[in-house]
Amino acid sequence: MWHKIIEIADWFGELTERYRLIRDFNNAAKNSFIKGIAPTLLESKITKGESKYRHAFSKFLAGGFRIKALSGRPLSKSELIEVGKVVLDNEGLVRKLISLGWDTLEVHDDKGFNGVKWCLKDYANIGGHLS
Amino acid sequence: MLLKVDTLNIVGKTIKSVSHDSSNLNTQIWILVAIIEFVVILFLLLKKKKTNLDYSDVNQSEIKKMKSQDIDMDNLMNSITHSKGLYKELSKKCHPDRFVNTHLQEVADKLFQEITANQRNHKRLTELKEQAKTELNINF
Repeated sequence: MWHKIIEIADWFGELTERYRLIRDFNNAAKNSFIKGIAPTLLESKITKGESKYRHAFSKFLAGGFRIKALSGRPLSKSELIEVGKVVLDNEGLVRKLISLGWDTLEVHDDKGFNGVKWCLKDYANIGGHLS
Repeated sequence: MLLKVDTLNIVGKTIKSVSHDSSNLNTQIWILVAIIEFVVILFLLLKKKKTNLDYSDVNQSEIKKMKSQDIDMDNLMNSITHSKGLYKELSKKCHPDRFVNTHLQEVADKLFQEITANQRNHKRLTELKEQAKTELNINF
């Protein structure tokens, strides 16, 4: 019984942590855009993700972490890949995303129809060595 | 006599409506039970399906550790916008080929490896830049 209650409390805690991560990302992006550090405003949000990238912690219909670049122009594929690679190179962030139920990283622009997505599992190195 | 007939009619109607209501209530209860059963079965099926997926055998304490990890979002934003330029500059100026046959070659080798490993980490690249200034005497 207590185990179930703790499980439910964990579920709510996880939900809060997910939204906190999104909020932190958006705040940091907004601050760096306002200060003039970043030329493009980035925005993150939750999407349904790619079903073939699912893993044991994947959230149902909420497994996608989408970064949208509000650039006002279509971004080239290399620019989108560069944004995604910075996130994927940050192993701590990738592990956190996976543990909070995300399985897909998507990078999009606001104009045009370009978008890139990656399977987070391939970049987490879970099951190997954990520090 | 007429009053008795009316009373009987009213009683009969009341009994009918009560039995009709109770049968309605029974149906509603059974539908509710069926829905709950369906949800439980669905939950169990999903749980069973999840055990076949990747990471189903990862320890819960490790997951908690990963969840509580702090992420430096400012560094992430700086990395997205500035790390590419900084990496190019550092890899050009600290390239080991520039220090061939000098006493700094080994230091340059190590530094270059470190730069390559952290090519998308702005904070670390900034630290390495300072290191290059002091250890390799490079002016940026």
